[in-house]
Amino acid sequence: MEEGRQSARADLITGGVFILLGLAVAYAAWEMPRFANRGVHPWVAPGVVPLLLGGLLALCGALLGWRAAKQGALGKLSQHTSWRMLIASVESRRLWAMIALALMYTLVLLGWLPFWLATGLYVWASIVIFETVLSDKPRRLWRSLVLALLQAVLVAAIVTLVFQYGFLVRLP
Amino acid sequence: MFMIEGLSMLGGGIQHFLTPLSLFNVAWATLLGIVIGMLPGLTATMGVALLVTLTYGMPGDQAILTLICMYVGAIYGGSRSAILLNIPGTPASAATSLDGFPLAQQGKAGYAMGLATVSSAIGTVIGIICLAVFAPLLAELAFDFGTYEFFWLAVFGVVISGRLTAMGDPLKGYIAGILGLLVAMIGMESLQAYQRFTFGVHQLSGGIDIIPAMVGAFGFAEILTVMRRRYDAKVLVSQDRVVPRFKDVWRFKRTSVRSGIIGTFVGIVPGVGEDIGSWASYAAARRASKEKEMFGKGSYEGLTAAETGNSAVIPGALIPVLTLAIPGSTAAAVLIAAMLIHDIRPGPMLMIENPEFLYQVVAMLLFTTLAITLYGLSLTKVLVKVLAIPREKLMPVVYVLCVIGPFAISQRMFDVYVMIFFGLAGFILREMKYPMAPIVLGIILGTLLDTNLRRGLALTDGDPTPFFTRPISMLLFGITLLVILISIPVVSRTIKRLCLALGLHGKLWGKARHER
Repeated sequence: MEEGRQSARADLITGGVFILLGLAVAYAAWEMPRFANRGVHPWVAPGVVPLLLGGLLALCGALLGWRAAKQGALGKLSQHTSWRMLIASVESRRLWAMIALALMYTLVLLGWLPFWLATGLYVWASIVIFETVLSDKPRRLWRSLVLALLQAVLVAAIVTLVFQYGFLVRLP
Repeated sequence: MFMIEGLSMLGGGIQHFLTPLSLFNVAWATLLGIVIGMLPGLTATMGVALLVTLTYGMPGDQAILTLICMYVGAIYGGSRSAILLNIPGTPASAATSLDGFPLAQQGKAGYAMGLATVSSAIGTVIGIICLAVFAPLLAELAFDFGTYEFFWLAVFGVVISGRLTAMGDPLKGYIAGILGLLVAMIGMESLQAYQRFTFGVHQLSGGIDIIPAMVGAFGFAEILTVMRRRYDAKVLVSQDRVVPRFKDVWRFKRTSVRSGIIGTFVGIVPGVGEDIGSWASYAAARRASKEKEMFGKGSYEGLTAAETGNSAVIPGALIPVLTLAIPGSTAAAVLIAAMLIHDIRPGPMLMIENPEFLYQVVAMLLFTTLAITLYGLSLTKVLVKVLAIPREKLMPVVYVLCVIGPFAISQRMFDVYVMIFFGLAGFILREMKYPMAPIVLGIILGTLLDTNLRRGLALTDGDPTPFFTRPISMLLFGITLLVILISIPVVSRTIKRLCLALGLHGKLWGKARHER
């Protein structure tokens, strides 16, 4: 029951998001040039299809929200399913860690360090963090550090060599 | 005459790939596909999308050969983890685990894997026969398709995929489809060369590339899903016989053929892929079986149906790819993108411009079927070791590949950012039970829909009549409307009541409910 209400609440919120997104798209489409001076028929203007799609998305969003409201999305959720749980549970911590590591690697390290070094660091940090801090059966830190370093060096070297010289691909 | 010509072209296709280089590519790509399919979290679509990068520098025919081997290998490989871990390696093997895992618990893991191998091979072969027979016919039909028909085909593709990939909740399927179509609206449109939704970002003027989007939605999103889970599953092993007895295969010949045909037809339906093909074949087999009670408890027949069904989808999914440039599954969508990269233009003109290509594809499928059979029956014990790789060690490497893949095609970091965006968005949408296939279909078919709607209206000076009166248009419009109407609860309840009144209830609705 609680879970059903939780997903209904999520549907209610996303329904609202889709209504806003749909209307924004429709508005932007409406504002697009119609090229009437070039003799373009109003139905052939660039904004026609986005306008239709924006409208449809808003309609579907409204249906989704309406259905969610009927399923009890407006009812009160218990403490256990509050927003804080979204951050505090073990699963969420694992998720956020993975996202943070991935973003750090792609957005920061890759522009700053050479590809092989950035990749090695990312692989090393990911393995160590998931094997020790975020694991239910944590490994000993020094063991994980050494083994992960070995894997990181191998991966960085192999990926760089294979892609650059084997498949002739340019790397970031 | 037609038949003989086809056979000689098929011979030509097979001969074309009887070179050491081709056979080498078949060998490694199929094996890599099996490994990717086995590993939970790495799907066929992701494998094919990442491999597009590696095959970028190859000649077109070798690149497509490699990608098809990856596709077939991965769909087959998924059965391994379904049987040994009770976790389908790819969504296509979800039905396989229903009977495969109980068999493994009974100590018959090896035999289950052997039977899955032979069933996959049979399924692919049935699909290949349908591909070789129906693709030329459909291509002929496609010549009658004009602007109006292509518009409806695009609409139909998105709607049917939205309906069938979100069985329980079609509304979410349709929303996913609309989101995909909206993504396709980004960038320069072709009629007036106006840049839509680019917000001054010049990298957006060419639109969103499908490969980075797919790598995000099927790679990064999947990595997040896998890494979030707390526990890892245990592998079951057994030392029993692997090669299936002929009598076990022969006993289920009806099930095999039925599942193969169901799978192929599910494959033809735009954007409806292996997972649905497998479930539909499984449901049909259970309905027709004499041993219904065994299903779910380790039935050989159920396993056969699931594996034949999902493998037959692959050649089926290639039928609309080659004849209409419409993807029959998400991995097939990547194949379309890859063909375009290599200057192979799928669609009605393919049969005229490059008639031998269809038979080359048939030959590719035959070669990879042979490869999965050989690997499947011989490397059982070696391949099990792949499942022992811990995800902590594997997933960071996969993410590195997800970064390289999108970058390599056009050498810009922007595509990597697109991958990250689609990964995060895809993860959130998936968590909220939105199917991914309609999004992919929307992205692929958006331009087709937009251009043909407006071109059609330009031709008639704003009069929409031909969209509804030309025979094929009318048919496609009718089916699309029907699909949408049935998914509205009020309408479907009314139809149900009508059927009840007419005494058709058990036949029609019992069947539909069963399939869910």
